[in-house]
Amino acid sequence: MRLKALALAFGLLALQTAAQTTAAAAQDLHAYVGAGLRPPVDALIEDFRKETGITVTAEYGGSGQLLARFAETRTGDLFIPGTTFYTDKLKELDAVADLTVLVVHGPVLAVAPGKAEAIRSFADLAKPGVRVGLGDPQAMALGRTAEDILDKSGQGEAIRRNVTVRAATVKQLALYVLDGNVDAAIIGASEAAQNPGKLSVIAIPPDWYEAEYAPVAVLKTSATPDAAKRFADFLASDAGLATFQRFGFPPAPKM
Amino acid sequence: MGFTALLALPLAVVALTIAGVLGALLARLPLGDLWAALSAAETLFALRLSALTSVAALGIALALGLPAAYLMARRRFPGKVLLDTLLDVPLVMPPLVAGLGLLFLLGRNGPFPALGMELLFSPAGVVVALAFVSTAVVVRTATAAFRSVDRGYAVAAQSLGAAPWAVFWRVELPLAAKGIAAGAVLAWARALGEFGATLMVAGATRLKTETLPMAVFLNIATGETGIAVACALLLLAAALLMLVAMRLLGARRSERFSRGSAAGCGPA
Repeated sequence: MRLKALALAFGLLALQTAAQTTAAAAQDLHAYVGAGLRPPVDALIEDFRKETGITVTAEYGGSGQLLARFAETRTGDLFIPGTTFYTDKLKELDAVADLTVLVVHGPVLAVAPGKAEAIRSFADLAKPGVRVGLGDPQAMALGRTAEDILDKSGQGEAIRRNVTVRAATVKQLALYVLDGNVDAAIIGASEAAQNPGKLSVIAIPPDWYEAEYAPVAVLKTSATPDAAKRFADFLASDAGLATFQRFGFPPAPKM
Repeated sequence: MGFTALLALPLAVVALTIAGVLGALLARLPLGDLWAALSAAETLFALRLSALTSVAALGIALALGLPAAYLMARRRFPGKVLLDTLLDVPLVMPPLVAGLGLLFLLGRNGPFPALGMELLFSPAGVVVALAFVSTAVVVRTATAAFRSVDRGYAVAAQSLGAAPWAVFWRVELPLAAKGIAAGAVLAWARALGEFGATLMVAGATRLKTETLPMAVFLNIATGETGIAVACALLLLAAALLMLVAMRLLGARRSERFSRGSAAGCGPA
């Protein structure tokens, strides 16, 4: 008798939990976000919650890592990588319901504090003894861009000999150069913008690389595509782009 | 009947989940692909680096850990309780946090920038990261092993005129050997699977600081599932070998006076 009552109570509890989860799911989005985009996206998630009541849970990591995670799980609502290269891959998986290009994700050469004298131009990276940090070419967006830049610089061979470390995310790389554990690294213009006065920045000729754009993709796997689209539109709105700009990501030219 | 059946269900859930994880890893690749991935240059590099760095780390862990453990087990001194807690910190510290701490300690802003620049981002840095984790395991397990040896043997040896180092080498160490060996296997397992600390201290540089766990991480990130799975299976094979070794160390009952099985498999 008591067992029956217990079973009934459990059944009711399970039903209630299920009901709650569906209610919550309608108001909770899961977004895969490239680690370098974290500061503006964190701020925008908070603004979006205040405005709409919809919470977005962001999973930050190297874009390639996130792509692998999605390919394996096939769940989630939004994908916001550091470059359209990864959303192109998503299109191959037929996973993109809607795509909006947001901001330019431009690379700069960042020089560690105290090394500005020794490294004044890109060519100085080839000097013997200089410690260069790069991203893994497949694991993170700017790792690929950096390879193109080295090829175009005409000194790829010599500079690659000076590469002492590769990082899995642009944030890890920024930490290495900020602490002076590498003398210079190719990181996002935004990383440099977020650490004003600490790093000296050397511009990279624009014809050395294909400009990378960070997009937002609404995934076909989304159970709540309307809410997901709302968040994507929010990021692409003037207010959203202004937030990105504040963190050093200029808006992409309107296609 | 009812009671046992009720308990059998959770047991079945646990066992089936583990079997499922193993099966899923094994079934991921067709045999031909697996062979190709296992013989890929990157896989072989990772295997060699993992073997070398984990053995080197174990050597450091034993050289530092055994004397430290003996002192902790056999001597009293002020502040010992505090020190005992401190020695356990690496066991409970997330490896990524340990790696971050090591990075700051060895970095250009740390106290030894010259030495740090030699170690950071190099295979030597991998050894440092692994040794940090596995030394704690050796200290913990060896302390328990020494404590489990009856002090009477040491006292008897002393009264027969043995010098302190002779007591350690010829009496205490052999008696605690089995527990120490079991601890060493555990420490090696920890070193072999270590990822978080390696990532921060040595970086994720392919074919330079790419240990087996790093190879799994990097190749999952780049969609090279083949190499990732091959490296995962190599780690799994090593882990199974270690389980067998632990069993053997725990199961041999040759010496009558140290009956403890694998001593002090602490919070590993």
